[in-house]
Amino acid sequence: MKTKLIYIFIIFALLATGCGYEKLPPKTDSSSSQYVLPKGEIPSAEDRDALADIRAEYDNYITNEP
Amino acid sequence: MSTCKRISFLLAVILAGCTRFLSVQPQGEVIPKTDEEFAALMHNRIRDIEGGGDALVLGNMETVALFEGCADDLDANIRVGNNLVSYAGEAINTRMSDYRSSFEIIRDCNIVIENLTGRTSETARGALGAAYAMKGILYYNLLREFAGPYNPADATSEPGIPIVDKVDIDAMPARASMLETAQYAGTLLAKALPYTGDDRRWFFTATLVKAYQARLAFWCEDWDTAASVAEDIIAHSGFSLTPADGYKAMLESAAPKGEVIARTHINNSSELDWYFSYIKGYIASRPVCAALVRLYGDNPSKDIRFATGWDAKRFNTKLPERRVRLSEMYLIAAEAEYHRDGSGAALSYLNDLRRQRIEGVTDLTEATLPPVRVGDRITEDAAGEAITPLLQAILDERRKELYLEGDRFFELKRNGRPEWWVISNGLKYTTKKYLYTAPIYKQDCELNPDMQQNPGYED
Repeated sequence: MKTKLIYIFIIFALLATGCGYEKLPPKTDSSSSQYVLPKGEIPSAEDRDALADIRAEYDNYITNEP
Repeated sequence: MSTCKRISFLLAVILAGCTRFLSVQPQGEVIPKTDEEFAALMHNRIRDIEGGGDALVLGNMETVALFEGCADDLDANIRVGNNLVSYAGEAINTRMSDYRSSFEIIRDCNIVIENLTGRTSETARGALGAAYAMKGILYYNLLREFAGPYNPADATSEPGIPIVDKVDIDAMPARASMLETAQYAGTLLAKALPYTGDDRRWFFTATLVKAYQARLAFWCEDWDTAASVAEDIIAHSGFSLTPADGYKAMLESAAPKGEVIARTHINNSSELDWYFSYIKGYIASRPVCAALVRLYGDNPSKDIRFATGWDAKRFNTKLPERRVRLSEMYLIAAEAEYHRDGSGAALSYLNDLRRQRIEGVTDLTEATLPPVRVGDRITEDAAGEAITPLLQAILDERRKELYLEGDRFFELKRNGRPEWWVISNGLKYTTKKYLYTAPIYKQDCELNPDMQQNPGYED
């Protein structure tokens, strides 16, 4: 009986000491490897005017291309 | 019996341990041993450069699209275009991933350097030269992208890039200082030189390595070194500036031609050609900005760069490849001489270049330099000083010459990091100062508590 117990114990030890080594912590669902991109702002009236000027310059250029 | 049990127990525990844990298993792949097998690591990387797949060492068309999308030569306020980032904030995750990928190439270089140093075969020497050159160039690129603008006054305290000089999977080096990083990159390039020559089989020729030494010194505002290396290349490399009538052919030639010291994507039957045809279309979907067009003055067609740059609707027509050209060495020499108070030499290099680009041009003199414009994006130089007429002329020429070669974003970064905005999909996005520097790979910062993230990305 004792011999059987020893064998069972050895087999258990063999199974239990297998490769369970994990160096890194487990990745969780909440982690991310990406950054949240910066958010845009609502442009002011001044910004919209500047944008209109840029586009007007371009339209004028391609119409009267040198 | 009790002793027997204890011995059996101990044996079971010891023998059942992970005997194969971390042991290297080939699993069908070759673990390099011979010179040729180590050299194959470099050949694979060089093949990427020649085929146009490399976005990290010399860069490729994708790199051009990324950095021109972040810069202002193409104006997203007129039209954002197709598949281009509208501004630098949109590209932070793409740029961050380049950090990790760069270290994969550095790992290969380290394997070659560790194992081939001291071997004397032609193959070993060629592979070693390529490994030192590639690693030195990568550290230069990482310094520009993942560290702030270089300022010699605080380069010993500002964070640079971790120095990884051997293969060690357990090592977690923290960031070296900017100065240490620059010195490390310089040392690697210097070590490459004895192994390189004119042989293009290993891609990295001596002139190409020297050109990167000039670029590194230029970025680090080491004006004396930048001037002397650039002037050495101009005087002794055997390259000469391509005249205007050969300019377009020089830019479009698949093999390096004329003043081109090196070019990526020289393999004109690359498996990525289909992809690059799309990228060209994406780049040509955003018009050139008015400020760049105005640099050409009242008679722009006299300048070959205007004629080859874009079409009537200001959509790009220049082949957007990454190149290292002699003209850049003239521009480095001119700006370095300017900062050394050598205005005569600076003007001389500038006029040499302009004569090869502009039909019937008259040389600039200090008396004929145009006054500093008001309203330009760059208002201070790399040293934080106000722009002068001579420096403005040098920067203008650089902008025209290196248009669509991925340079402008770094021009803005090293000259004061100006903030500016684009409006896309009804929202305003500002290129803030911190966005000129990309974030260090996020997982590296999470794993290594000593790894310092760049400002603006800490949370």
